[in-house]
This record gives sequence, structure tokens and C-alpha cells, in this order.
Amino acid sequence: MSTRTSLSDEQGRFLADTFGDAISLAPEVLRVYASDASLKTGTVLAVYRPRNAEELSRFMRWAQQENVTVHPRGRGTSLSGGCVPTVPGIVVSMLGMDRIIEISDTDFVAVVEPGVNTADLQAECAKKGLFYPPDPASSKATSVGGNVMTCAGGLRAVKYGVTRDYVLGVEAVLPGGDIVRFGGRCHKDVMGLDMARLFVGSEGTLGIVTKLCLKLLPLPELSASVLAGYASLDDAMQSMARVFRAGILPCAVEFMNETVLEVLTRTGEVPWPDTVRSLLLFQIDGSSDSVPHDMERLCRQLDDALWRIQGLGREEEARLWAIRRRISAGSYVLGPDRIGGDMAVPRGSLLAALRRFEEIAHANGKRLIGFGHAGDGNIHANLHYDASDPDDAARTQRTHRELDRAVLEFGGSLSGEHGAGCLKDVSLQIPPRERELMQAVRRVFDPTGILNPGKAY
Amino acid sequence: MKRGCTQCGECLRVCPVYAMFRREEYAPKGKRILMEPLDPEFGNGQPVPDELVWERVRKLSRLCAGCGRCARVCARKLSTAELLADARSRNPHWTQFMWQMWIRAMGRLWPMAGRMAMLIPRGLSKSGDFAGLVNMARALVARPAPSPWLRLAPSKRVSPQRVMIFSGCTAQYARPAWSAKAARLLHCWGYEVVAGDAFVCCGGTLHHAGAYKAEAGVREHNLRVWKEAGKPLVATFCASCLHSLRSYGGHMEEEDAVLWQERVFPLSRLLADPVVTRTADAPGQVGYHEPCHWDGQDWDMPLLAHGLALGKGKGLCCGMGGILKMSDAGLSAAMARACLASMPSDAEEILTGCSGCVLQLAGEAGDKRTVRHWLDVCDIAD
Repeated sequence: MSTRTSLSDEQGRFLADTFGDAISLAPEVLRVYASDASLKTGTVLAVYRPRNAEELSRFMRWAQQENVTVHPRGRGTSLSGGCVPTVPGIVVSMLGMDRIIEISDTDFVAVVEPGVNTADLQAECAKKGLFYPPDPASSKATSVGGNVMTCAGGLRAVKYGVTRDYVLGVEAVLPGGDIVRFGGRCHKDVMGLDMARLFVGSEGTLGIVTKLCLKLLPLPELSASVLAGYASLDDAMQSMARVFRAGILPCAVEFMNETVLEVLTRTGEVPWPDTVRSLLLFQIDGSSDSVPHDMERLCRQLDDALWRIQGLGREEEARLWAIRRRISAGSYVLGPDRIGGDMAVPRGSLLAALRRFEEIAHANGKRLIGFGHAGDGNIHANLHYDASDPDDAARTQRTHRELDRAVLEFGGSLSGEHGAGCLKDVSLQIPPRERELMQAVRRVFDPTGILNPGKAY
Repeated sequence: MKRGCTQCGECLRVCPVYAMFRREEYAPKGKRILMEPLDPEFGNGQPVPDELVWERVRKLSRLCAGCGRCARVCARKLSTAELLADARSRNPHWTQFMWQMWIRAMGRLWPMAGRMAMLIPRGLSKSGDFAGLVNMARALVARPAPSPWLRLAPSKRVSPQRVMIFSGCTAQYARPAWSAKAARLLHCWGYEVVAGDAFVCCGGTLHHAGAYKAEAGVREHNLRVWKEAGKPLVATFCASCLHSLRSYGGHMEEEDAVLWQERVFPLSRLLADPVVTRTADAPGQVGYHEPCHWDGQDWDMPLLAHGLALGKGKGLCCGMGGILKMSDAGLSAAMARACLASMPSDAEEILTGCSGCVLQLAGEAGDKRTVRHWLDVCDIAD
């Protein structure tokens, strides 16, 4: 790993002469790339924006020769410091490589560059009657490349899986400049090790992805949603279990704990009666014939809800999902600063884990904003606080650390979606021997350790 | 201390400047990272390194069209245009002074500037800042209005109410026909039209320039005019003027503020329950540009859609907002061209409902397309 803190004049000249406008060395530009949504900052020596794989290959060859650290970056939305330079280095921003090269309605694949916006890809696929299911809640803000690097999940993961399930092929540039291609556009391919999917969730530690071949599905004709209210999260979880036991597989199940409902009630009008303290939001999809039928089946299982409303088709569903979308902005009533968790637990442990998290928060004088993807046990456990109050800040940080430890009691994971970045204590979850093997794999791709050091594992 | 940007990145997708460059430093997020530490309310009191002082970050930060789209998608509702206006107000620059002069003191010279710009051969002004300014100046000269495409009449006349027309600078100095048309329509609907000639600039563009004193001056003048007229309804046919007029409420006594907010309307909203008749002169397909300053609630398009096949452009801001025309006329013009490129390809005629958008898009539309305010193509039914 490089320990340099600046580029030499000669290195700066080489970069500017070789890559021209694709390189920035101005301090005000470098500052923009020094942080991400974790709000942590590092030191950026230069920003490079590749225009194609061949040009990036030349850069990576030079970077390895010069032992300069490289930090790949998509839209910089990581909440776990995945884009923050841990040591001074050159940020490689992939946003300029954002073409949708092909959307095939015969092969059911999309070939894209990594900088394409996730929501834009979904919209372009939908125009052809095709469906790219991975849908992180922040899909309007993220890039597909970033989603692949963190194996982003999302609302529909319970039925459709996560990003990994849709990556068929990867083209990447390695430290040293090799351009490698794994997988392709076949939906089935068992030749060799599944290296394409090894890149998924690798958090930019193996190579810089320059092209992706993604699996697509037929676009469901119709969807419908139902928002059901309960006296407690306990009641809500029992209801959800009944739905699954009845053999119904929704494409999304979101839960909201009592604190979330208090936030929603304090920050706007709510349609449910006062007796409702917890919510489940279900979505089902399919054909225009099947959805009304499936909705009827679903609602039969929700007859224990105190209250419910439903919507058929996007327009009617929008008012239900608008409530879910209000959580993030509304939560600021509990404090102007936020620290978030995205832990995952086995689905059956969700209620117990959440109650345990609430106890920990309470013991530290905090409230836990608990919501997330109930269908796959992924909890967004957010804590709000006032950073200008040292006591509040310390209690919040302590709570956050204790939550991370508690999730492991349930056989859970510190991160279901965001990745470890540079902020998660990976050693809590992954034993030494297993980490050693991961590091050995990393060295095969990056023998001198120039790529995204101090991240992931 | 105010809490600043969370760097969530939602603003990238809606920012028209980011769309031109696809680089984070051009997005609202990037500009906030640079400007917040310099702001007394957002800054956390930490010293700012010399390489990130205002003089250094100004060049990037000022590339904002003031469209307000970032604030609408921001979880904290942070407006980068406001942050920039505050920074400009603390750091006056000669370009801001020039802009004030152009808006406040030189309005009567606009038509002459337009005629002079017409004399400059197009070959001498193809792109860049100079071309951006010349093309907009050319647009100050009004093209003859076509025969009406739509004839409007009320299905039922309203109960008599007094209305003042707020024309805005463009109509006042370069398109007086719009004000006359608006008055005829309101009269036809049964309103009593009160002279609004005493109104001056709405102050919106002065605000973006950080010229807060000048902005306060025009605001107070306009409110005085309104009060002296007996606080009637106010109708405007410019989305940007409407946006600015609505911001007056925050500077008024509560009772008056409520009344003001209740009485300021877009013209199209006052033309309630219209009977719209399409004429034989109406084109088959018409492009429509939705002004950013409708803030998500466009009242013009539904009115026009009664009689026209409108194809809404998929572009973002036309680049006329803020004072981008002054700070980077070349970029501003490039944004207009991007906006025009996103219009339906067969739409040779484009309508919009903001005076600034009309000038900006008309300046860059070239010879094959015409951009007009919708008032140019509507008339009252016989």
C-alpha cells in the first residue's frame, strides 16, 4: 500500500499530458471527491474520469508502476464510507461512462457502462417491456456500478433477489492495466469459477468495472399495494408470517415500528386511526389477471389488521408509497443529525432483533427509528441526534456500536445492503482465517495493494 | 447552526448543469460541499483552507441556473440557488452590478439591443459566451404573432373581481402585446382589470444575483402599488415572476402575507372553466416547455391541452434561471439547446409560459423552430 501524500510535479504533468481534460488537479474539485454520504473525508491527490476501458487500462498500468493508490467511485452515495479515500490517492470517477449500450428483448439482457443511473436503466428497460428488478430505495441517486460493487438490495429483494442475481457478465480493468472479461450474456454458464459474481459486492477491491451484462425479466403488467395498520410491531410481524405461510410471495414487504409512526404523525397528515402504531406495506405484481386475484388472497390474510388501504396500479399505489418515502425526511424531527444502520437478520428473528435494538437505544437515552425490508430481514436502524451536543453524540455513537454487536447475537450481518466500506468493524463478523482468504484473493487481482485499500474485508 | 448537505446524491438526476457535464463538482451536492463551509449559518466555525476561499470556489459555484429542482428533491429541502445568492450577497462582484443595471435601468433599451444584435452575422456568433448573449438579445425583438391557434371564452363569466396584471420586465419592455392580450382575456372572463403599469421587476433575478437591497426595493415598491390599489387579485403570465411574487410573503406582516398569497395567481388559473376552440391554423404537434419555476404545479399546460396536441420536452431547465446568462452565457445557451433537442422532433412550434424561457429558447431555436409564449397563439372567442 502506498504511503505517498502528494503527487510529484512529474506525475502531475504526466497525468495532465496523457489524459487531458479527464484529469483534475484543482483543490476545489478534489474536495468534492474527498467525501461521500458517510460525510467522512479523505485526501484526494487527483481526479480521473475515464472515457473508455482502454484509456483506463493505461491509467491503471501507470498507477501500479508508480505505486499510486486508486479509489474508484460511482455517484458517491455510500453511507459506509465506501468512496472515501482511506489513504491519499487518485479518485477514479466512473460517471462519464454512463451509456446504456444495448437492451435486448430477445436475449433479455442489458449491456451498460457502470456510471448509468439505476432509475434511468429501469425506465429504459420498461420502455421495451423489460424489467431490471434490483431497486435500492435510493435508485434515483445511485449508479448501477455502485450497486454492483455493494451488491445493493432493495425493496423487491424478497421476491426478485439482489443485484448479484442479475449480473451475468463483467468487464473490468485490473491494477496493472489488464482488461478482463468474465461471464457473458448467457443466463446459464457454469464454465470456470463464477468470477463475474465475485466482483459483485467486492467494493472496488478487485478491479474497476467498465462494462456490465445484466439479466432482465419481462416487465410485470400490473402491481398492487396494501398498507395495513396494527396496534404493535408484534402484531404486524405475526400478520406477515401468516402471509408467507399461506404461500403468498409479495415483491415487497416494508415494516415500520412505533417510532416511525410517531415521526409520520408529527410531520404530516396520516390516514390511519390513533390505535395504529405499526405498519406493513405489501406490494404484489404479475399479470393484469393474476394481481387482483393475488390481492384478494393477500387481503384475506390481513384480516387481523386494525386498518388498511390498498391501491391497484401505479397511480393508486403512489399515495401508499409516499408514506414510506416520508420517513427519511420526517425523521429529522428527532434530531438534526443521523447515523444509520442497515443490518440484516434471518427473517424469523426480525421482531426479536428489533426489540433488542430498541432496548439498547432506550438504555442510552435514544429512540430507534426502525423500518426496512421485512421480507428479507433487512433493518434500517437509524438514530438521530444533535452533533453539537457532545453527550448526545457520544450516546448515539455508543448505541450504534452496540447495535452492531447485537445483530450478531441473532446470526445476522452488519450490512445487508450498504457494504462495509471503511466504517464497519469487519472483524466482529468475519473470523481471521476467512478474512485471510479474502485478502489472498484480493492480492491475486491487486498484488501491490493500490486499489481501494482499507475497505470491505 | 443549520445542517447542510447529506451528500445523498438525489440532486444529480435533476440538475440541468450536472446533466451537461456529468461531473459531481457541477452538481448541487458538489457546490454545497464548497460553499457551506463559507456560509455563516452552515459553516461549523472551522477555518477554511486558503485553497477553498470564495475567490477560488466561485467559478464552480456560480454555475447554477437557479431552477430550484435540487431543493424539491432534497430531504432537507436545501436550495443551492439560495446558498449561492447568499454567497454573492456577501461577496459583491462587478458582474452582479452589471446584471442589476441591465434589469433595473436599461429595460427601455432592450428592444434596441435586440435590433443591434440582429445586425451581427450568425457566423460571427456560433457558440460560447458572446453567442449566448447575442442570441438572447436577438430574441428581444418580437416576431409577428401568428393567426390564433386557440380561441378562448369562459363557459360562465366570473363574479366581478378586480385584477391587476403583473407583466414582468420582458413583457413591459419587449413584449407589450402579452399584457394587452392578458387584459383582454381577463375582461372577457368578467374580471375588472386594474392598471398594473406601476409594477416594476419582480426581483427574482436580483435575488439570485445576491442584490438583496435592490430586491427589497422592488418588492416594497410592488407591494405599495398593490396596497394602494386596494389589494386586488394579481395575475401574472410568467412562471418565474409568479415564483418570485410568492416569495414576498416571507417579508410581510402575517395578515397581509396571507392575503397576498391568496390573491397572487397565474393568469391561466384565473381563466377558469374555459371553452377552448382550436382553429384551422393550429399546428398538428406543438412542443411544450414546462418552466422550472412552476415548482411542480403547471397551470398553463392543462389549459392549452384543451385544444392543442402538446408534446412536453424531456429536458430540464432552459438555462435562463438565476444569473447564469451573465455568469456563463455559453453554458446557459448550451442548456437551452439541450432542452430544445429533447422536444418532439416534429414540433416546429414550441410554447411555454415564462418570459425568460421564451427569450432563452427563442434565442437558440435557430430558423427551423419558433418559440412563443402561449399568449401569442391564443385569442378571445368572438
